[in-house]
Order: sequence, then C-alpha cells, then structure tokens
Amino acid sequence: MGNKVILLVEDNPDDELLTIRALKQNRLANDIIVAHDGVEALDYLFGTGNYAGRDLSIMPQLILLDLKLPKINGLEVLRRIRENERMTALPIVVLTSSDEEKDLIESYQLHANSYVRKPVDFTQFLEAIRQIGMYWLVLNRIPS
Amino acid sequence: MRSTILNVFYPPHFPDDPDKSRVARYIHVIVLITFMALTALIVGSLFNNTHGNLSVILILDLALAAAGTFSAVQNRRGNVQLAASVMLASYWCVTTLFVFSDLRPEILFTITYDYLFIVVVSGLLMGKRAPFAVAATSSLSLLAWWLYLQGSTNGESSFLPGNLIASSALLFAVAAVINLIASSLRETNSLLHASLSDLKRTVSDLEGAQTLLQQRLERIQFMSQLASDFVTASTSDIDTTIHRALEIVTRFAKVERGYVFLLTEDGQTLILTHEWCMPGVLAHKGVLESLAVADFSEFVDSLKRGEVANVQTAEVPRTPDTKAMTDILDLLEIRSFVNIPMHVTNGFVGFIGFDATYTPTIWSEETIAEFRFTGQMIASTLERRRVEREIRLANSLLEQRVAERTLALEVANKELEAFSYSVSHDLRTPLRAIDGYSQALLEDCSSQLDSTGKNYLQRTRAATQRMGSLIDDMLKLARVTRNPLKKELVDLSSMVQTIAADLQEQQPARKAHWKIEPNLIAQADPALLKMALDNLIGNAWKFTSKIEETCIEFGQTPMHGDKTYYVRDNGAGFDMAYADQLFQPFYRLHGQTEFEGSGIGLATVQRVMTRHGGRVWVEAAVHKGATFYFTL
Repeated sequence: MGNKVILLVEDNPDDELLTIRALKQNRLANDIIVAHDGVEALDYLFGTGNYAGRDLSIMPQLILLDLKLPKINGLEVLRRIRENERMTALPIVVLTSSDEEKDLIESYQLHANSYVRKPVDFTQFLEAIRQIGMYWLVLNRIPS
Repeated sequence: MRSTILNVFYPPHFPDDPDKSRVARYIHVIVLITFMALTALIVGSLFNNTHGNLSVILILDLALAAAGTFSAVQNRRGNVQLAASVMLASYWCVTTLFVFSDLRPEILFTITYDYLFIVVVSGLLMGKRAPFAVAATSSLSLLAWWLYLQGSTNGESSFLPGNLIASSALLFAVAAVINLIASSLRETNSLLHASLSDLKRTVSDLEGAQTLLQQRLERIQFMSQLASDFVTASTSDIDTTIHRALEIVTRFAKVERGYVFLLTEDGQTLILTHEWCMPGVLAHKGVLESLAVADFSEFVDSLKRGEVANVQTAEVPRTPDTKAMTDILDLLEIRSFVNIPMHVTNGFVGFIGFDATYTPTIWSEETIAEFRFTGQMIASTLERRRVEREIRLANSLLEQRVAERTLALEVANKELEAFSYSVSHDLRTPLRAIDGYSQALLEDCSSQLDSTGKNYLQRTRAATQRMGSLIDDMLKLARVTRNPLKKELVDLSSMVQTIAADLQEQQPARKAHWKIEPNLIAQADPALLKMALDNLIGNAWKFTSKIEETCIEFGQTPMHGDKTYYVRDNGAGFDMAYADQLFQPFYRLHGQTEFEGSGIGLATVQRVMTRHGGRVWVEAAVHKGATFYFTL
C-alpha cells in the first residue's frame, strides 16, 4: 500500500496505542502520524508550527479524528480543514467515544466522511478499525 | 260695585262647610222669590187698590223689603241662621198683619197655610224648637184674630172655634212631623259628615304613607346605585368612586362634610383618606388629617365596639377632659357630627363621618343606617383592593420565584448535559483501554499465562463490556428527560414489527410467535417511543429465551378508559410483590447469570411514558409471563 499516510488525531495515549495496535494487526499502517491535539493536527496539515517546512505534497490518505481534544477541539479542526479548498476531498473519519446526537449531526454538517463510535469491546474495536482501513485505504479513491 | 250687585243673584258658597252652603242657598232662593213676589204685589197694589189702605201696604212692603235685604246681606256674610230667622220672622209678621187687616172668617185656612209654610221652612232651616215656637205664636195670633173677629162682629160670624182648634192642631202636628224629619235629616247629615271627615283623615293618612313610601323607594334606589357603583368599580377607580359616594350621601343627608378615616396597619393612627365638602366649607384636609388612637382611646374603643358617635356640639360639656374633642369641633365649626365604625372580616378598619356645620342636625335612624351602609360599602371595597394588591404581589413574587427556579433548572440541565457528555466520552475511554490491554495480554503474552490467568483476563474483559453497556443505558435514561418532546403521529405497530424482526434476525434459531395488532397510531415522540418499545419488546424477548416456544403480543385494550397499549409475553414472569420496585433504576429481579441487564430499561420506559403524560404498569406471575401496560 505504498506511502499511504494515516493522520491519527488522538490525545489519549491508551487510545493512541490501541488504535495503532489495531491498525498494525490489520496490516494497514505504513506511516502513522499522531497529533495529540487540534493545534498539532492543523500544524501538520498546513506545514506550520512544529511541522514548518514539511513537504506539503505528502498529504494523509485518511484522517482519524477524535472530537474531544485539548486546545482546538475536533469539530473546529474539521471546520478548518474543510475551509481549505485543497483539502475538501481529504477523507476524515470521526472516531470518538461520544454517542451524542449533537456531535454526530454537527460532524456531518462540517462534511466529515464518516462517524464511528469507538466500541468498548476491543474485539469490536479491532473489527471497526479493520473495516475503516479496508474501505478508506484500499477501496476508496481520492484525487491525487 | 257691579260685581257686588251681581253677586246678589248668585248663591253664597262656604267651601269648608257644605251644610251651611246648602242652607244659605235655600235662603237665597227664598229671599229672591220673596223679593219678586213683593215687587209684583207692590206694583199690583199701585194699579189696583183692592185693600183701600195703600199707605199701610206700602209701609209693610218696604219693611219686608228691608228685612229681606238685611237677611240677604247676613246670608252672604255667612250669618245663615240670623238670615233665616230675620226672613222667617218678617214673613210671619207680614202674614199676621195681613190676617188682622182682613176680617173675613173664610181666610182662616189661607192664613193657616201661610203659617204652615213658615213652620215647615223654620223646621228645615233652623233649630229643633223653631217649628213649635212658630206653631205656638201662630196659634196665639189666630186666637187673637178670632177674639178680635168675635168682638167686631158680635159673635155673628159663622166661624167656629172648632176650626180654630183644628188649625192649631194642624200647625203643631206639622211642626212635630217636620221636626222629626229635620232631626232625622240632621242625624243622617252628621253621620255623613262624620264618615266624610273619617274618609278625609284616611285619605290624608294614605297620602302621608305614600310620601313615606316614595322617600323609602328613593333611598333604596340611591343605595342600590351606590352598591352597584362600588361593586363594578375597578381597582384603579376606587378612590374616585368613594369621593363620589361621599358627595352623593352628604348632599342627600343635607349636611356639609363627609369623610373617611382609616386605621393604619400598626393600629396607632387613624388617617384621613377620603373627603368631600360642600363648596365654601372648611375641609379636614390641611387641618386635621390624622388622629392618634392613644389621644382618643375612649372614642376609638366605642367605635371598635360598633357604637355610633352621634354628637350635638351644643350638648358636649366644656371640661378639661373633653377639651381635645371640643377644640376639634370648634376648629372645624362642627354643629353636629355622626361617626360610624367600619368593619371587615378582620375587624375594625376605620370610620365614616358626616358633619353639619350650618345648623345642628339630628339624624334619623334611617339616615344613620344609610351612612353605615355607605361605610360598609367603602370598607369592603377598600378591603377588596387590599386583597387584590396582595394577590398581585404574591403573584409577582411567585412569577419571580418561577423565573428563578427555571433559571436554576436550566443551569442544572446544562450541567447535566455537560456531565452526560463527559460520562459518554471520558468514562468509556479507560474501559476501552482496560479491555484493549487485556486482549493485548492474551494475544502477546499468551505463553506466559496459565489457564487461570487467561480466565481472569477474560473476566476482566466481560466486566468492562458490561460496564460499557451500563454507561450506555444510563446515558439513554438521562437523554429521555433532557431533550424536548417532539410529538408526531407514530405507527406503533410497524415500530414493534421492526424491533421484532431485528431480534428474530439476531437469533434466527429461536422459535417465536409474534402477535402484533396492526395500525396502532399514537401521537408521541418517535425517538423516545422507540427507546421504550425497544426496552419492552427486548425484555419480552429476553425473558422468554428459556421457553421452548416464545409468544409475544402487542396490542390495545380499552382498559381504564384511555387508549391502553400492552406488551405480553409467556416468559419467566415474576412475583407481583416486587412489581412496585420494578421501575426503579438499577433494580433487578433476576441475577446477571440468569438474565443479562442493567436494570435501567424499565426506568427508562417509565420516564418516557411520564414525559408523554401517561403511565406504565405491569401484571405478572412467576413462570406465567408478564404483561406491561402503558398509556401515552
């Protein structure tokens, strides 16, 4: 699967570790970039802050976005990404513990591609990650 | 002058004495007739000297004319008896003179007729004795005439004494008869007179009663107008109405000043609140606007007992004790005053008063009753205003409290929302970590774990997952109350169908018989109802899992008058002794190993029904299934 990059936006180290484990178990991750808050995620995407001077031709194939994030929250990150014309086609899957209807509605209003609730059961979580990876990284095509 | 002459031809009239008028009218007629007769006689005598002695006749005629004139004048002046006496006496004299001037015995009867006429007239017009007196004098005159006749003719006359006696007897008999008739007439007359005056008295009594009645009616109309004014007065108009009422009542009672003093809330002072004065009369306002109860304790105490102060200034003794009062009386130029206490249900509230400043006035009981009535109307109207104000105040306090509570509730709701969000997100994250690491241990360190270790890890994972679903259920329960109710028409039957199909699909091996009444439509929030039906049908499915052939029913029954729906199963059922607690959150009738569950499902169902204004209840028996009823 070549140089496909996944941007994982997740502040909780446990979730980060388990998500990466799930991705790896499903052999989906060549390159996983982890951003621990909203600011870091935006810095990576726009080549600012710590990521200043980054090669912006390399963009993630998939963004896994948590909603409850320090500094700038997930919905705000989503809004800023979609405001940028270059990133309108970037697949963003909201991956969160929240089961709030409000979050679900708002995410789709901000043009998230998908909304997946993290199951407590790790087996189910594994399965969810596998399906997400299979669909967005293998089946789905985006303009290069 | 002319009128005086003409008056002679009209009968005199005495308006206050009809008897006298009548007699005077008779006399008038007789005098007129006599005048005309005499005039004819005198004229006749002038042309035809039958008596030979013209000068005697002329003198007689003139004397008679003078007597008649005198009689007529007396009659007109009202001396009716005198007029009658003079007239009859002169007539008698003339008749007697004629008798003596004519000595023919055959004129006895003619003369007797003349005398009879006088007897009758005197009987009718004069007193009781008059006809007898006339009869007696006439008889004597006849006797004298007869004796004179006998003397002058030497007894050669054919005139018999029997004739004389018969004439006298006739005169007396007629006098007796006429007296009888006259006295009976007089009696009847006096009776009539008495009943007439009775009648007059009755009429004047009736007139008096009518006037009184008219006055009463006016008072009643006046008071009812006053009452209706007070009853219809709106709170903002009450002061105007009271001032108007004081004006009307003061004017009606014909005094100069009307006023109201009210007791302050601390009960220490009486304060002038309303007053009306006749223009030009000194007002209390600016002179005496308040009375300290302590200074007039005796006066106020008697008012409190309900006694009316009805005082004539002239009668108030001038002593040091009464100085406070007399000073006020002098200051306000009061001649008499009446103060009437006003009471409401809470007791004495003040008094209404009226002053007479021009002339001392004694008020009737009726007028005082009117004053009291006015006072009571004023007091109850003011009481109404006080209560209305209290209610308004209480209302605004209540509104304020409601607003505060609403705000507090809104804040609490916001907090709850934040809390729920936090629970939903943060509580689940560590659970996932525990589950994930347990799985990782099982996978990565499998070789280092014995079967007990692996079993413990499995149990850790199971507990974590149960806690996860517990959290989910709790959030659902919280969500039922949190979100606003969005009612629309919901097809309950198809909703139940969908749920049933999902359940059957999860466990396709289970034999189940579904009996769902079609087309049950209700007005409800679809999301909440779905949640409730998920729980009810899910429960039925769960508790029939150990039965060979599951039978689940959904339908409607006219029970309890409302549209009552029910979900019936043939499952494990339960003892009705525990039915009350069934709807409490986290309450469970079955062990976790027997049937899984969080104990929140039925609490959620109950909350959904309550939010719709309905309720839920259950009928069940151990091993005989359960029926859950609900209304919306």
